[in-house]
Amino acid sequence: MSGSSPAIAGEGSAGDGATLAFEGVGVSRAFGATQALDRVDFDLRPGEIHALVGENGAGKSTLAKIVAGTLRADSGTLRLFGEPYSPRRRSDGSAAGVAHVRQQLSLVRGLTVAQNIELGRPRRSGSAAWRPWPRVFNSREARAEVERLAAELDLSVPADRIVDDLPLAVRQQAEILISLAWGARLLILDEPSSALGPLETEALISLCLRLRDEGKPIIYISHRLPELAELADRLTVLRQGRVVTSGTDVAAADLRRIAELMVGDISLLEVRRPDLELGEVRLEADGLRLAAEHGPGLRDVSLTVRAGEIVGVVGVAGNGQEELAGVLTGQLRPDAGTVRIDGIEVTNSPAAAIGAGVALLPEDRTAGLAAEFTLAENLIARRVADAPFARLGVRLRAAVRRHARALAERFDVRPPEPALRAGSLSGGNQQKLMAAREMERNPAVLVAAGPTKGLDPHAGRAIRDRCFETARRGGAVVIISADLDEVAELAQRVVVLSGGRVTDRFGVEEMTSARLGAVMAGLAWDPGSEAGLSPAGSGAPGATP
Amino acid sequence: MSTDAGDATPTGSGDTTGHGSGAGGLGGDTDGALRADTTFERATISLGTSLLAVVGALGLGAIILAGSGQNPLTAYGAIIVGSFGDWFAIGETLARAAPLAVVGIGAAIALRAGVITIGAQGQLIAGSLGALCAGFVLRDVPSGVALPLAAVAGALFGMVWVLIPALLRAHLNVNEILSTLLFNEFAFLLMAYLLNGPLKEPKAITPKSEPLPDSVVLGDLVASTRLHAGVLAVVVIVALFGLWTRSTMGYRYDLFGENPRLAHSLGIPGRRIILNSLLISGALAGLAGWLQAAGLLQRLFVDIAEEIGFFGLVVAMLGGARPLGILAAALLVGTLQAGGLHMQATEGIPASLSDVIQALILLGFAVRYAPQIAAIARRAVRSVSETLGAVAAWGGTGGGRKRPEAS
Amino acid sequence: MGKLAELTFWTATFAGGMRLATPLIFASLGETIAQRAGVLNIGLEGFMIIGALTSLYVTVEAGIALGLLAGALAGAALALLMVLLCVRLNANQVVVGFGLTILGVGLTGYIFRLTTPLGGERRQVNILGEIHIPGLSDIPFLGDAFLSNSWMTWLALGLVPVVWWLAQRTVFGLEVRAVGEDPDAAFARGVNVIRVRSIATLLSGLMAGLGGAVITTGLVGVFEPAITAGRGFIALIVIIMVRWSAWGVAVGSFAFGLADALGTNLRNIVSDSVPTEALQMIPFFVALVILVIGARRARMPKSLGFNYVPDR
Repeated sequence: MSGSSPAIAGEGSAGDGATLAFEGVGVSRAFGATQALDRVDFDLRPGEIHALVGENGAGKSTLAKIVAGTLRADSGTLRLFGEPYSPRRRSDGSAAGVAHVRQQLSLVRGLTVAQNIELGRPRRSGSAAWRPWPRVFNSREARAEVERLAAELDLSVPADRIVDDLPLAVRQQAEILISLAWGARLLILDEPSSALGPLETEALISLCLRLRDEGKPIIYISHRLPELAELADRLTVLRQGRVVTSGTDVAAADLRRIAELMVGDISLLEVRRPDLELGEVRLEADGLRLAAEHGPGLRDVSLTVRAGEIVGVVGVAGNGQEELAGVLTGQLRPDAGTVRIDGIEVTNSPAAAIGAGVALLPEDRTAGLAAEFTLAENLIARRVADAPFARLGVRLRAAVRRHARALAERFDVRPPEPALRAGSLSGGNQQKLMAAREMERNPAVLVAAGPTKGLDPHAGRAIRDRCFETARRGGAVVIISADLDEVAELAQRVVVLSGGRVTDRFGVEEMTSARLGAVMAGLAWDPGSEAGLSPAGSGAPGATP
Repeated sequence: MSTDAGDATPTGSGDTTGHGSGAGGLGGDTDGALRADTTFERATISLGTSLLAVVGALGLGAIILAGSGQNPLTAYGAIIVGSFGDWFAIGETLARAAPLAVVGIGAAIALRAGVITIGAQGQLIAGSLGALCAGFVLRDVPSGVALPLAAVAGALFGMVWVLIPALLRAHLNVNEILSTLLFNEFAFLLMAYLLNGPLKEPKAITPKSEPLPDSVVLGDLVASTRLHAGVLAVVVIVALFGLWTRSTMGYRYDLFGENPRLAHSLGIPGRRIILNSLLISGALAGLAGWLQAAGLLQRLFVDIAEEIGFFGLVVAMLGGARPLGILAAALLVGTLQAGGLHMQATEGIPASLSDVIQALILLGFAVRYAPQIAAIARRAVRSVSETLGAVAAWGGTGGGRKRPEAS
Repeated sequence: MGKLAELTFWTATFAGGMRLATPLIFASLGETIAQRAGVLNIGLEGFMIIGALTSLYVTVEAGIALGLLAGALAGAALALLMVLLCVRLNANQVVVGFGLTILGVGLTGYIFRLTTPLGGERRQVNILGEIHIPGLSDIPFLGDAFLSNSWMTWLALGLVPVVWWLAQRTVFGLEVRAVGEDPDAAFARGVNVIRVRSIATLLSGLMAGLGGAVITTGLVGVFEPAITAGRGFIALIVIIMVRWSAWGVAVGSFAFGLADALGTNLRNIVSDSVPTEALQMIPFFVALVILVIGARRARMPKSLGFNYVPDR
C-alpha cells in the first residue's frame, strides 16, 4: 500500500479527462478452432468497480487472463493507466501492478501466508543489474508486512499459518492483501464469491468497496446479479466471446434484462420443479462421527431422506461436506454411526452401497472419471461384469459400445462417441458422462456434491433435470453444496452443516439469506432480532476504515 | 458391520491423479510411498512413432560408435548377423526374447494397475531355484508330470519372493520400487551363497549348480540351436495376457491404476489389487527363471538373471503394456542383446552398446508419451503417410487401437 | 570374535561409515532438492556411475580437482537430458529415470571395456588421504572415528548446512517447495515453474555426479562396471527415511554407510562362522528396515513424480 493512490475519477463521467485505468481495444484470442474472444473492447475507469458477466465459456476468464498477462491476445491493443501495455507473461502483469485473484486461489497451500508474499513477488524494475542469487528470504520482514497490511485493511489474516489450514474466505483475503503488498494498482477478482457463504460475501463486498474508495479500480467477474447490484458501478456482458452490452450503468440497469442478455435464452434459468410425492424413508444416516485431518469432520450428524425427496445440505466449504458425502456412500469409515439404505446397512462399504443403489456425483470431478479411459469404458464401470456386457468374465466390447452410445445420447453427452477419451470432453460433458454412469438405472439414493458447479446453463439445466428425474422416480436425493442458488432451485428441505454439525433444518420456503448467513456462520438463528447477523470473528469488516 | 469392510479402506498411495490435493481421506493425502504417474501405459501406440524412436536411437548409437572410433556399419552389421544371420542366431534371439516377454507381461499387469516393480530380477533367481528344487524332488518322475510341476515351482518361488514387498506395499505403503530392488540384492546374495556352498557342483571351479535332472529339462525345439520348447509356453502366456486385457477382472485392475479414487468408490478393493498384481508379476518373473534354468542354461549360475528382470520392465514400457506391443518389444530387445554379444565376440565392440541403444529407445518412447510430442509425431507420420499413399493405412493405425480426441 | 570388543574395530568401522556415507550425502542432498521441486529422479544410479567413470578418467589426465569437476558436470549433462525430457517435454519421470539408469550403466560399461583391453591395465588413481586436523583428530576414539576424514567428506558435510540454508532461508528454497507442492498455484503467483524445476534437477545431477566421482577418485581408485552397487537407489531410500530434510540426509547416509562398513569389517573376523553373503546383506537389510519405518507417515511433496503442464 502506498499513500500515492491515483486520483479518484469524477462520478460516472465518460472519462475523457481522466486516464483510463485499463483499456483494451479489439482484443481477440482463439484456442484452436474456438474463438474465445472476438474483438472485445473493454475499459476500466480509475476508482470504479466494473463487473464482467456472462455464462461459462463466454470469455470472461480469458479476458481476465489477458489483462493479467497470463495469456497473450492474438490481436488488439491494451493500455494500462494510459501507457501501452503488452505483458508477455504473468510476472509482467504483476510488475505493472495488475493483480489477478482467481477462482482457484493461487496461494501455495503448503506454505504460510508470509512465505507466499515472497513467492513470485515482482522485482522493482530499474534496480541494480546484478542481483545476488539466491535471494535471502527474510521471514521476519515478510511477517511484519502481512501484519501491517492486515491491520490497515482491517482483516484478520494470520501471517504464520499454513494456507491449507485457513478457511477459503481468509485465503481470499490473504491473496488480495498480498497483491496490494506487491503494489497492485488494479485488481481482477474472478468469481470471488462462488464458494462463500452470505456473511463472507458481505465482508468481501465491503472490502471491495473500501478498496475502490481508496483508488484501486476492480474488474469483478461474476454471474451473481444481485451481488453486482450492491457493488458494481458499471457492467459489461460477454456472450460467446463477444461484448453484448458494454459499460452499462448498474444503477440504471434492469437486472432481468441483463440475465437475458447473458444467457440468450431465459428459459434455461427458470426452474421447473416437478411435483414430487414423498414415499418411504430410503436413506437413513444416524449419529455419524468422523475425525478429519483438516476441518471439523463430522460431529454427530443424522439425516433421513425419503423417496422423492431432495434435501440440500448447505454450509461454507470445509465444514464436513466432503466427509458427509464419503460416509453416506460407504466410502469413508465413520468413527461412529450407521448409514442404511432401504433398511440395509452400507456403512463403510462402497460395494454394499453400490449394491443398494447408491449413486455419487463427487465435487472433485477428477475423482469420478477415468480420464484415460474411453467413454464406453467409463460408462460401463458400475456394470462391467453384468450380462450382456460380459460373458464368462470376458468383456463383450460390441455390446458395451452399443450401450455406451445409447446412454451417451440419452444423457446428451457431446459428442456421444464411445471410443473417445473421457478426458478430452469439456467439463460439462464430463459431468453429464458421470451422471449417465451413476443415474442410468434409477438410483435409490443420489448424493450429488455441487452438481452444477462451473457448468454452463445448458449443462446445468440437464443435470438439474436429472436430479428431479431421480426424485420423481422414487429416489432419495442429497445435494451437498455451498451454492445457495443451486440448493434453492433443487431442494425441498435444507439442512445446514456448520462445524461438522447440523445447526439448522427447515423447508426451502423458509430459506432466507439472513437466516442462512447466521446459521452457516455457526450462530443461533433468532428471527426476532438482527443480532444473528452481526459479525462473528470470521473476518467481517468493521464499520469505517 | 458390512461384509466387505476389510477391503473397503482406501490405500491412497496409488493415487495417480496427483493434482487436486487432499481428498479428505478419500485419496492420497496420507501417502507413505513414492508414487508416480503411470498413465503412460494407456498412451496411444502408433507403429510410426515407435519406429521413429527406434531409428532415432540407432542414429544416436551410430554417433556414439563413430565418436569412439568404431565403424557403425560394422557394428550394426554384426548385430544383424548375430541375431538373424543363421538358425543359431535366430534361436538365440528368440531364446532371449522369451523370458523378456514373460517378465514384461508380469510388469505390464502391475503397471496397468499403477504398481511399478523392479523386482523381477530377484524373483527370476527365486524361480530358477524353484525349478532346480523341483528337479531334485522329481528326478525320477516322468517328464510329462515333472516338467509342468517344475514350471509351477518356478512361479511359486517367484511369488514367494515378492510376497513381503507386496504385503509391505499393500498394508504399510512401503514403496515397491525400492523394496523390490532390495529383494533383488537379497536374491543375488542368496544365490551366490548357495552356488558357493550347498548347491555347488563339487568339482567345478566357478560357482555353478549341478545340471538339472533330465526329467525337468526342456528339449530343444530346433536342432543345433539353443531354442528350447519353453518358447511355446511364452505364446500361451501372451495369449492369456491378451485375454486378461479384455476380461472384467483386468478391467478392474486397469481402472484402479487409472483412478484409484474412482475404483474405491465403485467398491473395487485396492489393497487386493496391489497385492495380486505384484504376486502375478512375481509368478511370471519366476516362470522366466524356470525358462532360464530348465530351458536355456539347464543349470544355475550366479548371474542366471543377467539383466532380464530390468529389461523385462523396459519391454513392458516399450510395448505400452499391451500384448502385441510387448511381444514386439521383447523381440527387439532380444535382437539387440543377441546381436550385441555377437558384435562383442567378432568385432571387439563392447556389448554394452546394446544397453545404450535400448536406453535411448526407451527415452524416445518416454518422450512419445508426452502429449505435444505425440501430436507432432502423429502429424509428421500423417504427412509422410499421406505422401506415400499406400503406406498410409498401415503406418497410421498399426499396432494399437485408435483413440480419437474431441477437438 | 573377541575383536568385536576391541576399540580399534569400532574406530575403523565408524571411520569407514563416514567414508562410505560421503557419496550418499552428495547424491541424496541433490536429490532432496529435486524431489522437493517435484521431480522424482530414480535415475540417480546412472548419474552416479557416469560421474564415477568421467571423474576417474579425467583425474588420471588432469588431476583430482578437474576430475571431480568433470564428474559433477557429467552428472549434470545427464540431468540436462532429464530436464529436456521430463520438465520440458512432460515425459514420464519414472520411465525416463529408469532409462537414464540403463543409459548411464550401459555407456560407462561401453567406454570402460573399450578403453580397458582384456587383461590390460585399468586406469588407477591414488585415493584421497585423511586430513589430520591438529587437536580434533587427536581426540581419543572420536578423533579417529569421526574427525579424521578426507577433504571430500568434509566438503559433503559442509554442503549439508548450505543445502539446508538454500531450502529454508532463501526465496529459491521457497520456490522449490512451492513448485513441488502446488505447481499450478506457484505458476499463478508468477513463479517460473519450469525454470525452478530445471535448476533443481540440474543441481541434483551435479551432486549425484559428484557422489559418483567420490566413489572412484575418493574411495576406490579404479573404475569397474556397476561400481556404484545400487547406491543411487539407497540414496532414494535415505531421502524417504529422513523426509526430505538436509540434516537428516547426513544422519541417514551415515547410518547406511555404517551398516556397509560393518558388513565389510565383520567379514574379516567372522568369515569362518558366518557366510560372507549374509554379511553383505547387512546394509540392504538395514535399508529395508529404514524403508519400512520411513514409509509410514511420510509427507512428501504433493506433486512429486508429476510433471507440470500449464493449462493453456
